[in-house]
Amino acid sequence: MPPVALTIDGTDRTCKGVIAKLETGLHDLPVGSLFMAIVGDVPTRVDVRAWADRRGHRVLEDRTRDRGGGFELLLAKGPSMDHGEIGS
Amino acid sequence: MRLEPAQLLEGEGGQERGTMMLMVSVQDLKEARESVAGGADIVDVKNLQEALVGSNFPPVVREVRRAFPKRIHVSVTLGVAPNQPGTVAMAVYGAAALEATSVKVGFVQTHYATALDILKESRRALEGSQTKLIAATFADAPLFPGGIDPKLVVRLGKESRSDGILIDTLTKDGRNLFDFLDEATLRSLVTEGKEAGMSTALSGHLRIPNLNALVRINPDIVGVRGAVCANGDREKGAVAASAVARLRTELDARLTGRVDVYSEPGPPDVLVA
Repeated sequence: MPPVALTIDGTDRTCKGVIAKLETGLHDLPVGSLFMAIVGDVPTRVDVRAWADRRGHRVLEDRTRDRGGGFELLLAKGPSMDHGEIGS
Repeated sequence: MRLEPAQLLEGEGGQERGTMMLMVSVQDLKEARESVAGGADIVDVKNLQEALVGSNFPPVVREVRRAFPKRIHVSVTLGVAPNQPGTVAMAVYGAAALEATSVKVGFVQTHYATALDILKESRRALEGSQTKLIAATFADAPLFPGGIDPKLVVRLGKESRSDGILIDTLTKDGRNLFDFLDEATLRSLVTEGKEAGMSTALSGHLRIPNLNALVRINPDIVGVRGAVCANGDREKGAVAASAVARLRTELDARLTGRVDVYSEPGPPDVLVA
């Protein structure tokens, strides 16, 4: 498995905040790059998964964190990424 | 984690951090008190004697509003709105005069253009008011001749500058929301609504076994009645605080990750008397 190219710690962010950071961070990464989102609660986890689905990214792993609570989602950047604004 | 409802009011988009508000439909102050005691964030005042989702009377709404602090939301449903923009706008104005947190305007046998006109006039009627406008459609509307496509609710909300959207059901024959719209469709509508800055609500005969799917969809608000009534009967039963509390507990278990909505099945639909 290739290395994780981007990790966003969104444990102190809103759903929109995490997704905005992911959108920005993914912009220059090639298709297939692995990235990780760390989120603090279930609704943010759900929204990140829904966002990934809409943008064509694949969720490879979704696991509960051993420490600190929350979840770690490992994803692969999809081929047809739409950079539409979030919350517009 | 749960935020106080008042915190959620601060952002127009509804859900800013991880939480989901529980809305319980009530018919009177007694049921409203039971709902709040059980952990409801929103009491939705309606009148089951009028087409099951109709409006209640202004004195009832006033009594419920005065009974609780503003952090408890009091919503007013106009049920299925008539195709008369002036009449509906006046009713919306009345909801604002009663200091309702929100007013819901729903459509079934209405052309899109008429529904949009009604919502725009409703928006105008709320100028200068804190009351939020909620555009509502019914997932089972296609069962009715000329029923409006429920999936148009996001477009309706955006074009009318509504504050939020609701998808409910009219059919009270045991079928529920998921019998008419699947999880993927509902998730797409909720996501689109959120991205447009609107609050998003789902209702329609929802029960505890639906909670996993609801949390996976993640609307800002989940609305119930039958699930929190004694004997599970939304019409003959009354809202019971113990049943509301059980639903609240089950919802919170999923929101905090104690029940994994992606891997564990929901509990059996045990009704609380």
